[in-house]
Amino acid sequence: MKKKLFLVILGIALTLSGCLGRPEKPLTVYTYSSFPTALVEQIVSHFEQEHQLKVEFRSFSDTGPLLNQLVQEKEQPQADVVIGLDNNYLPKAVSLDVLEPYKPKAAEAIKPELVFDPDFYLTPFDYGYIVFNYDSQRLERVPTSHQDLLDPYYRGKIVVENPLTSSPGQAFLLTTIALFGEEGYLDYWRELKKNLLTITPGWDEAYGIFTSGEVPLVLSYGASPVYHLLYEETERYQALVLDGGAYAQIEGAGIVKHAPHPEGARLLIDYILSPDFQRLIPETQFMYPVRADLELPASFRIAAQADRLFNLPPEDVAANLERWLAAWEQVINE
Amino acid sequence: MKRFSSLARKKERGEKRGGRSVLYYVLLCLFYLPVLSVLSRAFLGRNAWTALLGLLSSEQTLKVLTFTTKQALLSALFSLLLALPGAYFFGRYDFPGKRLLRSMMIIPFMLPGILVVLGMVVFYGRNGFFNQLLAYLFPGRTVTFTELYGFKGIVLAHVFYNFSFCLRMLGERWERLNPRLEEASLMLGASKFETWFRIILPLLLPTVGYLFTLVFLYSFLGFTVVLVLGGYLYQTFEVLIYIEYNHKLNFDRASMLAGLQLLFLAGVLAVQNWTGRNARRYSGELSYLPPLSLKRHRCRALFFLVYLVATLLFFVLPLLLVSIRSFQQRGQAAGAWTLENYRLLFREEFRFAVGQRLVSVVVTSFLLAVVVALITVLLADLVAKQRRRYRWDRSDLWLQLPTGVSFLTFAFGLINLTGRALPTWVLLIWAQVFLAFPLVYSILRTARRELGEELLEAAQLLGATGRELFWTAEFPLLKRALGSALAYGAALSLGDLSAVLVLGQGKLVTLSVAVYRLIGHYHFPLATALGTVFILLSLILFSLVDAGKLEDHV
Repeated sequence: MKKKLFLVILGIALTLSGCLGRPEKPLTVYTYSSFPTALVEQIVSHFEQEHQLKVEFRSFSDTGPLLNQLVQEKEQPQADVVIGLDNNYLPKAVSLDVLEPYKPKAAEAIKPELVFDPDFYLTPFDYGYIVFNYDSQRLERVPTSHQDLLDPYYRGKIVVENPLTSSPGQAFLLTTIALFGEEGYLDYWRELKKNLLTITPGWDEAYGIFTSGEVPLVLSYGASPVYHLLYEETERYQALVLDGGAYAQIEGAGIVKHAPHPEGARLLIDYILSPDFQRLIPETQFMYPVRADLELPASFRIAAQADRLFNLPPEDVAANLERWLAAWEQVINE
Repeated sequence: MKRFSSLARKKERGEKRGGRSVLYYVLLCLFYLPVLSVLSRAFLGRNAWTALLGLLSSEQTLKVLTFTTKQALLSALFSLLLALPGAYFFGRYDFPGKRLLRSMMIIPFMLPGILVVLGMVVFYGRNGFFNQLLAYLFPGRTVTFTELYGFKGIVLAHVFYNFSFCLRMLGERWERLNPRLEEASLMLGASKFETWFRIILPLLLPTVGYLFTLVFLYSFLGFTVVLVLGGYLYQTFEVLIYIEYNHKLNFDRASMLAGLQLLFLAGVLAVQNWTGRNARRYSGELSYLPPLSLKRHRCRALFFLVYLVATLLFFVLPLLLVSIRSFQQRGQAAGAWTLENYRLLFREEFRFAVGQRLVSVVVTSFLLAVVVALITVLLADLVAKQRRRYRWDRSDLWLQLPTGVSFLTFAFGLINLTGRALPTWVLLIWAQVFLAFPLVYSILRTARRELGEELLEAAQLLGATGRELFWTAEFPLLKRALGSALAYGAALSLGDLSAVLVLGQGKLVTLSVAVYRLIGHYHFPLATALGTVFILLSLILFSLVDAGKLEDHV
């Protein structure tokens, strides 16, 4: 009888310890919430089939909250890989010490001008231009330079995003600094302000107001028209490259410092640079792939083509951004 | 006899603690621990007090405070002024379509901010419907409405959000005013005007005061609307906190701003509580009266019709225009009509943008809303029952304070406190109960207080058990309040975006999240289609709740 009881207790104890013993934690990726499901599923199924690894995605409303989470978990990192920190976030992420550098095997295949981080804390995987889009049915005079936008003809016809709360907005602020210098950009904004219908907190609201027909000019992405071509079969919306150039938003992926699965994390970084994965990017993410050896799909003929990049050196941005933003805020509130 | 003495003892014990039970204190802990964890960060850090002084004396703080207060005051004032005539008709008269209209009044509460903003733009914008109408009515002359983007636009949007909710709450209150008081006053020779000012207004005043405060708080904490329409000139504290926390990653300053905001709003609530005290003395004299038929009062019916058409035009049409967009061919401004966008809701395209299928989004949203509403109503009703014998006092104020806490602050505090150790859905329900509790509690608190002690005590003395008592005496009398409380609880949960985004980690996809994801992938027509589907489903849900509670009336 006693023996039986002992066996029962042993059985229960074993089952319990089985339950308590944590199952292998999957490879965990943090990203922002608009990262395309198609790409998520591609990664998950590839790792299941090729490496017998389970990958789990957790998404955050925006890059800010994502970085926030990494900082909060610094003592006990939960994530292995982070996807979607862009060139403007690099200095901040490095100074917060949440990333581990890793130079991917295919590093040579990346277009050299896109490698914004020579130490590879972040590996670029896609990029896009932050440019104005216009509604060809509602705009008769199409501007060709940033100076043109100051013409009274455009009064109330432009919507831009707030550089304090949105990454396209921030890229545009940097564009004006690249073009007009630290001495000139505030004067430019003083004039531009008169023509702005409003400044929205994020891209969603700005683009919504634009497609409602309220304004003919909006700050958006160079590949936005591709969507309308693919899904609505219209070329009504056009990208606008002013002054022959554009600011590139380069999105990167990186390995979290002290990641639980460093091996798997490295495999993942290598995978998103593979031609298979890179080929999916244009028509799911509406961004350009970073590999130099890929052809773009036909729909991208309508996307913006920029001859030069306005991008400022990341260390300049890191050193001055706070100051530039504060000065901008003051001018806007004048 | 034994029963009686135990009842008396219970009463005595309750008296001593002012009706505050263990549950009351548990709720306080659930609500205030996360808030305290944010505040401690703000006020206990190094150099906290120097930084605080700097913040207090800065010009920006003063500017933000002035603007935020001014727009919130005006929003509350106009919401109530607009709601007053409607509340009168909803409270006094019966007319066809009343039930549906009543259910419709909750809709703005549960819609994602971006759809409301788009509705405003499509209707009041420069190229919007309203301006086209003006151009049509006054050809040749340049009569235009160009005030949407700025201070007036912000107030307009906040009135848009809140006036229908004021109308409903005030109307329900009006329904319960005892008509005999009015009759008596008139019979004693008082003029109609005098009767209104000295009898009816004082009876309505507590509700008016409460609603004023509530709209003030909601507008004070405004976020999306202020950001989109205010452009760059206007910022609320909520906007500052968001920027500090998410973009400058300056947690201490963000917490400090949140703390300041909380102190200020707590002050507002305390003042309201203090001024409302005298008015509440009147609130004993209540009863239901059968609504009058509008058909017999032609002149009033006409006035009501004008009012109704105007409010429908200015407040319902903007949302309707957004819905109409979902029936248009994509990429065409005024193209052919189509159901294509609705078909696409069931396709892979939807799943790729949103991450889940439509069915699971619908089920998740409504399940969460119903669970949150039930939990909130249960907790609120228990506390309200325990406190039914007491006048509204400081203890109730503590349960109202969540309205004054920026929801952003609460979600961050929750993460700060639990470190995400609890499962996502627990955190989410916790946060949404916090969000819904004050409003739900105030509805039930008033209803319980007015229920009257005598009836329940009589039933108890006659030997009714707890369950019998509830189903035969309390429930029929509380039905209406319970229905409203459930509906608002569910609506607040459905409309919530911040909690799901901050706490949901991308796994829980609700209506608001899905709408944002669709828009993030350029699928604007799909987003409007989804919005329309949710409006219809919610209307059905709220109609069911309202039908349940009106049953005894019709």
